[in-house]
Amino acid sequence: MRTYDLHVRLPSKNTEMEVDRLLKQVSTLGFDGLAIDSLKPFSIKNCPESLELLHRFTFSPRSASRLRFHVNKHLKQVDLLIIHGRTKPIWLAAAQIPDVHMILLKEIEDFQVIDSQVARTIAKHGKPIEICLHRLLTHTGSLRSRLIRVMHTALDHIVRADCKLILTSGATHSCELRASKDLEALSYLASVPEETAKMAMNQGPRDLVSSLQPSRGQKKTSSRRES
Amino acid sequence: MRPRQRYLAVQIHTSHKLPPESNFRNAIWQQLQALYGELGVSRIGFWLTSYHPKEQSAIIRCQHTQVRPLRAALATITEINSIPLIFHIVGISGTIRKAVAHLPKLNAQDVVRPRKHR
Repeated sequence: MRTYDLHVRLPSKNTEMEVDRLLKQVSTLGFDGLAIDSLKPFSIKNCPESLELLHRFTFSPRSASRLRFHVNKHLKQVDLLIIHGRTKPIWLAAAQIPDVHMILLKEIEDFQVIDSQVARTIAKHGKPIEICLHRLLTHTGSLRSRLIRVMHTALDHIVRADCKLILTSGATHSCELRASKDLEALSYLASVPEETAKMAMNQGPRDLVSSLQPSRGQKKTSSRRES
Repeated sequence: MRPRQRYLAVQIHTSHKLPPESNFRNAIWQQLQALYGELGVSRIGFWLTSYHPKEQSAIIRCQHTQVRPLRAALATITEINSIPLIFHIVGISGTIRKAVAHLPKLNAQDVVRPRKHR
């Protein structure tokens, strides 16, 4: 069974050594594929053959108007398009656009926006929600306790509405990567039930990647992997 | 009745030299306390059974119902003494002997004490 981490950012020190270390770590932790977040096309040398690379882009619109136009514009360049909204109208608009692959929840403000209405709308359109667990690693003290509290409330609405969930690491550095079962366990802090976490780490990403397969063949994937 | 335990076989991924045992244990204690408080830590029953910095591996014991909270706490640790590292739990078992089997770099004799014959 293939496992994916669908949110990894290239290291801020975007040197060849750092990228190599990140890819090696991903393979060591047992992942079969990862999605690298970048607006521009990227090229990676020495990528392990067994590792499936996807190109994703997280788009943060300022308003819900012209969202469909921007989505169509960016969709041509990437495999996965993710909307990071921050306001309720944007979440609701993004949920209704079929070409948007996921809706990203990462910051405290994102989780605060989620209520039962937003969760139900997203669930109705069958859009997966990406829960990026990166902030649980980077925040400490009162900030982390606030994050855990708002995550708990938001995920309560999301689980009740029966939304599709996808857990990701959002790692920006090799030491922020986690194995799939450890990411599953990390979601305990956000009060995600164990069975839901398992589905969100295994079945969710697999279903999303398999739904991409027909359209991915038409795009240029060779530019990302330089042999 | 004797409480049931679980042993977590942990592989530590880092390119640096690992800290001494006391620093390693304290870092996990502090993280557990920060997340769950003293009451929560007592329920988890954390115990560092063995630590092998050269082999970059450790065996950690906890109550059998508390594996998920412990695993979550270990996953939140990104560095100890400014050394960046990843805790990778490669296996969970009910005995130390089986936990050691998950760590290929480790010999069972290094961890398991020989049984005393009466």
